[in-house]
Amino acid sequence: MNPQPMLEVRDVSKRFVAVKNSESVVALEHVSFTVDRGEFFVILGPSGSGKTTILNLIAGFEQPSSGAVTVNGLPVSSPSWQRAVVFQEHALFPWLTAWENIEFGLKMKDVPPGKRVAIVREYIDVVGLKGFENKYPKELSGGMKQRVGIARALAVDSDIVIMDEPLGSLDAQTRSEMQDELLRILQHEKKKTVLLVTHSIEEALKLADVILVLSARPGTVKKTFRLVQPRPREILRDPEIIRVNVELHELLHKAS
Amino acid sequence: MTLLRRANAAGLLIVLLVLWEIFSRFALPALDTSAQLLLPPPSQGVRDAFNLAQQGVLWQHAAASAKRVYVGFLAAALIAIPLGIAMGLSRTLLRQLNPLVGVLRPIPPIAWIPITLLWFGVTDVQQYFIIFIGTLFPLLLNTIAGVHGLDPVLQRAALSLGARPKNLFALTLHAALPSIFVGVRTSLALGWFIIIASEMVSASTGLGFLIIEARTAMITERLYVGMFAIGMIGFLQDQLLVFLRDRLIPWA
Repeated sequence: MNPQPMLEVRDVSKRFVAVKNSESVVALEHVSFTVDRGEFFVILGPSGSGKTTILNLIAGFEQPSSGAVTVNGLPVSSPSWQRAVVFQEHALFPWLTAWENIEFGLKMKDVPPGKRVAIVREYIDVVGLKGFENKYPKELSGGMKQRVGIARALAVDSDIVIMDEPLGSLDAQTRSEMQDELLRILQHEKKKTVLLVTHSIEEALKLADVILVLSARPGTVKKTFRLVQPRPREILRDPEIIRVNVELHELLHKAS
Repeated sequence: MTLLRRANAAGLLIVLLVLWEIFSRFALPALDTSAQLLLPPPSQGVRDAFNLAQQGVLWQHAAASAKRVYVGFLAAALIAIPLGIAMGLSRTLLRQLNPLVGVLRPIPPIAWIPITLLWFGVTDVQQYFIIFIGTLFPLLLNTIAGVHGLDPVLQRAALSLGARPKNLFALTLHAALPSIFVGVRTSLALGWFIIIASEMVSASTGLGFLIIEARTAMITERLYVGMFAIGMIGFLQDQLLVFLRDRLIPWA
């Protein structure tokens, strides 16, 4: 028995037409890949490789020019809580507290109040926001904000969690800490399917089951790697990871 | 301790007032016998303010002005805020109304006085209208800007968390609140600018009238009283608005 993949991107191309001169720019060209249930799938690419465009197509914010995106065999036509998104710029609602931000999706899903409180409390705990429940986003640091963003996306219990450079706006120190935090947080989830976009090789090596490398302008699939090493990983010690690391550097160097 | 620090903070102000008092009281009469009439010492203003307050005249004029500002402002807000939301949401409406707003907005509210005197006569309604027209546009434009100010990524975040169209409307309104508040604050400050000018031209009550009447009667220290009263009201009004903002939109 071969179960169908959780997510399938089949021969997807995306063109953008510039308003000014009506010239079209090809962002993605014939991109195909599949993501299985429970996989941590990382899309790695230089800037201009259309990696955010792929996420927008999967989230349902945009439609492909050709090809198809299907989740559980159903085509993606619009955004849905089944594909919750963690944004690089956090995108927290500034008028809601940390607690209320995490609760937002549960309210939209009409989860009854009692259950809602239990779920929010659980995720406040999991992402380490105890004591910050009643703070507004403007009162939180970048790392704290993204903890709220991650908790908010996990709380709705979606099929897939889409993460668009979730740690991209953090400083190097916080970023490294949050990579470990993300692993710890995801251990709490029962084999969550995660799709994460990044331009950081280190991040990909630390987190991914599968790394897909995109080329720049237009974005095409260059190569796919599968990492089986248990996490957390010593990415500077494991010979296989070191080999992949070298190859990724070469690929990205040529790609950009 | 705090009292001492406050007195210290007002130190320069106190020195200046004392210098002014000495200058007006002793230096000016020595220069010219009628010069003191042009710049009476501040203590005379304080005495006059005290007298006017005791007679109740000062409060009556202040209340007359305040009523005009707030009634006119309220009428403008009731129209401008809903209209601004509609114009912010509908491109068609924005395109249709933009030329009208573009032409009416630069007309100073004072320029409306002659024609509104023809329409309404020397009445409070005429004053309300002047305030209405003067505060309408800052409210309208700030509301439109607020509605347009919703970060598209917040809309995407909401949709990817299962929000429906009616939730998006609430989202837009929430995001617009800080900008609408700026409109309210600007309009109320502007309202006091306008009402004083308007009362100087066409009213028989109000702080603007108090000032212009004192000028006619050459009661110079009363000019201080009128001007200072406006300054105090403006200051207190703004303090109240900031207080309300910190409670109503603490997240902004």
